[in-house]
Amino acid sequence: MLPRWARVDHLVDLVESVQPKFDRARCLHYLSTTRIPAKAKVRSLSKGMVVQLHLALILAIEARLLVLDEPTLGLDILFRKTFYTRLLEDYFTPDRSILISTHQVEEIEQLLTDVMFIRDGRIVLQATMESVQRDYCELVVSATQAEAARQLGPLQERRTLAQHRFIFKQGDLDALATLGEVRACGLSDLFVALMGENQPQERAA
Amino acid sequence: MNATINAYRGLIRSELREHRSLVLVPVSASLVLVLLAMLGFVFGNIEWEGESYRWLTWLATVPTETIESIELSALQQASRGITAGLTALFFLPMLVVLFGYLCGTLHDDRRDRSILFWKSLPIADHSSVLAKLAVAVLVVPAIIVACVLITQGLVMVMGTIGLWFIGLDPMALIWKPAQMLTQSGLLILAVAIQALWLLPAAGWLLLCSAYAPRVPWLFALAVPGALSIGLRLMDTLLGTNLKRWDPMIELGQRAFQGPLPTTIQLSFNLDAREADTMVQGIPLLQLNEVLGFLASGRLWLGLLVAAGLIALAIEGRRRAGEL
Repeated sequence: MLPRWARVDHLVDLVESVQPKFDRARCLHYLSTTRIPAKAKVRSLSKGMVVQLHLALILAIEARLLVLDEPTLGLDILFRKTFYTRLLEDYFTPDRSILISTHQVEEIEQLLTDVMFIRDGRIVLQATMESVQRDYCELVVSATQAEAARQLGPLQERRTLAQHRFIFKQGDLDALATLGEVRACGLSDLFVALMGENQPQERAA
Repeated sequence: MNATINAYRGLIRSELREHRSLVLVPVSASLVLVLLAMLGFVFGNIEWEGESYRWLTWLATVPTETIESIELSALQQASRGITAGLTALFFLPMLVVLFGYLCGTLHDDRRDRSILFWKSLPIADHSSVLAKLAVAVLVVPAIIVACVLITQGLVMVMGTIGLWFIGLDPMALIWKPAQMLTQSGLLILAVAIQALWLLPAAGWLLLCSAYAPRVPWLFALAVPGALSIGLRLMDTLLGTNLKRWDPMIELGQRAFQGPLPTTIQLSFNLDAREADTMVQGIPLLQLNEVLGFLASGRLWLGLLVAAGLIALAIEGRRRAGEL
């Protein structure tokens, strides 16, 4: 939460004075791509602008590990897409790591190299995205094949219209394919399958 | 080392930007005083031998010998007290501003949730608290000194022009009595010692700001107020003599009985030609009085108490989350 009394340029001054690895030119460059006035006070900015300002300040710090906790919470989808694109294009390099903690699993799925699910302080899943794609799959079957699919021990079953969707771990792909369509497992579906639907503390990192 | 200095500089600048009254009040007071001096010089009236005269008219019509007989007392006395008198005029309103600042500064960060931002920066909690303390006991007093000296200089320049205008010697009449160099040096010394004198009170207010769940100024007054009543009740009921430890009196003395003059009583009487009766109660800064505070055990004991209070305030900042 940025101090509401502060002006944008004053915040840039402040972070520059206390953070030795702050790159002022980079921060001003980020800000120049937004519609945030340099002399505006934080209290006069919209919620999206405040987040943009905060991110401009953070992304201008030459840190090897960047930790983002719910970075796009409350923002519209347009800004969320822009944010993650910029994060990869402008910030990510091979010698930097970015740790994102979020409930919006599906929007970062394509960015991740590693994933961790945590519930009540306990790690439920820790894996590379590559192994997740290899180890988990989704089976979509018609109602007539649903009972046969259940016999193969799915992690989770969901019903959508006339279809039944099952999440399997390390299933026999050939056997599954005889029952219906086998697809790659989406991270959000795997999240629901592993964490349960009514767990308030669940979080993906 | 440079990084630390830069960090403190950035934090102090940020505090002054957030609490603009810390700068605006003394600067405004300075402007008002200069304006009042100008208006008084041009439009002020004077009672002389039963008649009311406009000041400039009086200066132009009364014989020079008469003016000299008065100036040697009134003007010289007034000039002598200008540094201390102006300091008192600035210091009292700034005490009120500083009380509000110290009570609110740590509390406001929790209330508006900006503490999350501050804690995300590479700033130690003790640096945050010490920067706020430095603003109260070093930066604001330095601003007051600057405003006093600038105001004093402008008033003296106006007086010089006025005296030249009527053919009198401003050097002998106002510049020499004012002893600006000595008084300015003493003022700076007094401000530095005043900072030490105020530290326990500042530490208490910061402590309240760090811990009070709401309305920290009420907390800052209510706790010593309740203690004060308790001590006096014990004195009455048990015959003890605990009122000498009254925290309310201690806070009051810390605020108003430091080396800087905080009271001013002007009483000009131009008909009485005796200097002592013409200008009464303008406190002059005296070296022995200012340095006397350094020999006081209360000053050093207060510093020990202040260290404890500030350490607790830092701990409060470390534990603090949003309200």
